[in-house]
Amino acid sequence: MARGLKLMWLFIRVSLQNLAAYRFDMYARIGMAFMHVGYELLGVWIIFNRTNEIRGWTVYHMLVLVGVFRMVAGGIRIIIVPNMRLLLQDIHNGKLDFVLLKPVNAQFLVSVREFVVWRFTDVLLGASVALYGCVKLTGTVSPEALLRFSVTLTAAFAIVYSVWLMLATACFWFVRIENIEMVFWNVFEAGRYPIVIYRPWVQGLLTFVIPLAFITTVPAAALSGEDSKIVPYAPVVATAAGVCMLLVSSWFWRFGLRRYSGASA
Amino acid sequence: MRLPSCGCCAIAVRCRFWESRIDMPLIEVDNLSKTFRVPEREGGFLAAIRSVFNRRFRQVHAVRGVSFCVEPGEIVGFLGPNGAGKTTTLKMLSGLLHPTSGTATVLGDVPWRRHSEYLRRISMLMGQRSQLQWDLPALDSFMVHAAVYNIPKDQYRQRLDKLVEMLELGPVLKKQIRTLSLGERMKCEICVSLLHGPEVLFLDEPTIGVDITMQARIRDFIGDYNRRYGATIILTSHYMADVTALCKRVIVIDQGRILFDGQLEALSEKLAPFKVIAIDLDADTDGYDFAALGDVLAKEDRKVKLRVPKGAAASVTGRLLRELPVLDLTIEDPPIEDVIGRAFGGSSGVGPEEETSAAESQGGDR
Repeated sequence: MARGLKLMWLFIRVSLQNLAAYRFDMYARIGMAFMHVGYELLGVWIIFNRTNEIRGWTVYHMLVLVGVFRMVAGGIRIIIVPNMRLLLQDIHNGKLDFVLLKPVNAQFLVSVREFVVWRFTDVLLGASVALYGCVKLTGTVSPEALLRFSVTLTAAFAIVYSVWLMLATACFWFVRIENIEMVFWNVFEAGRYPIVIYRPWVQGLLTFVIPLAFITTVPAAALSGEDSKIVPYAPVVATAAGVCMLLVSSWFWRFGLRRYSGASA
Repeated sequence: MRLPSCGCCAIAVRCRFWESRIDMPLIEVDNLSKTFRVPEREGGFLAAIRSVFNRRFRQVHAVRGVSFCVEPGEIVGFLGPNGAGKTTTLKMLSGLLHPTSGTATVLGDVPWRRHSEYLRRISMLMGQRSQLQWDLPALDSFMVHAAVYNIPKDQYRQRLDKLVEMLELGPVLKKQIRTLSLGERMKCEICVSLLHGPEVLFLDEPTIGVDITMQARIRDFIGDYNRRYGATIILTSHYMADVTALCKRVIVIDQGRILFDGQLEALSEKLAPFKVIAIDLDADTDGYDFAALGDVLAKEDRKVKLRVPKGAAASVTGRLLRELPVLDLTIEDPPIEDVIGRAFGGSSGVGPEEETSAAESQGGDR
């Protein structure tokens, strides 16, 4: 465990060094991150200019959700997407062989090799917006809410990570899955809105089939202490869902690895 | 044509019976096979559409029933045309592929179980792929490698210094990998794959694409490393010079089967029942019918090269000496690539770059 963390820290440092090689790109992208949040807030403002609430969600609820959405999207872009993108490339050009030769758990290694550190701005911006919304809504951020939020947010990352691992593992069979990332982000976009605004059957779909509810709506609701309205015993259920997804995806990864034949010589 | 395996397997079996690992070969491969299932379709648009609904598969037998043993400290050369199954065999031995059938033991472990302790003791170098980080200086990639293999700091320093010295890497360590020449990069690849002090090395085309001088230096280094650390090495190469310079023992593979396993010198005995007679003449001999004596390989001015059946070598030599004003005469085994080329029915995968290294290896033989 300690060794794993040490390795992660090393990869973060290496990523920082890589970052230094493309500094200007980074500045431009940080600027973009601010614009993105501004654009999202504009969207919220436009909607709530006309109405005070949507199915029980007020403008501050929405701010919390927009913030959480940004945080999750940022987190995904810091570690999950870069690593999975690298994994897809490695499967494609046969470099995965080098990963498999290392005396370290392969799943761990393919999941932590790359960090896009500057995406942390997304997380910070998102957290600011979410906390502002929360304080406006409840007047405070209670330790209990923070705990529930942390648990559900961790579960959200576990779920997203598992989905990505399974998508990437599918590449062992279908070596070329292009635009897999586009598909993911397009589905993920639906998490920008609270699932309560969708029809009941869509809500069911987004909770149990594509567990999008657990990724943004539940953590956002947890921060304002209303998570049980979305899913009863939300932290427990979310944790269970996260653990299940991790187990299934890890099994699928190992299954895929056995079938992996490497890109030919 | 296939020879029975080296005989050490029998010893190994006996040893296992006594539950002792003394004399057990380091690498023991028994009847190893790998079959790939690859989708297949004809060219063209309609065929592409059809393949979406009805994928047809073809079985590719990359390796079929390969058996051999390697003793500690040996350098064994794998020879064979493209697609012979060399790389597939190496990939199974390094744990990257599960075999379809058969068994293999390396360092007393089953490679494809991929135990960390096993992976820590081996290394695989793939000449055609880079494991270094493109945008970072070599030194940073080495550091990552050291962390992944959990090499203690002082040990890392010590090994790195040694390797840098042996490979003459000093000046390139701090340059970004993408700015290095292919030869320099290859040396870095070799360095990184040896940092954890592997006991078994699988080198897949370690000299591919680099120039002749660099090839020779990499070759020297591999031999040196083997002598110094007693590492066991299996090497595949397209360049015969690599094999003739480094490997006493060769295993020739074609279409997934072992054609030959034995001493390099025995290879030409076995596969080429020919000798090459080269003569220098003192005077022009227009009209002399060399073709009646054997295949004329080369004829320019007063130098002639003939290929004759082994049994006829003595009599042809006698006749040449009697009938012609011979200044100098040598009898040689045919160049090894000719031998291999003949064994594979002219499909030895000998590329144009091959000729230069062939000339070089001949030079080395004399």
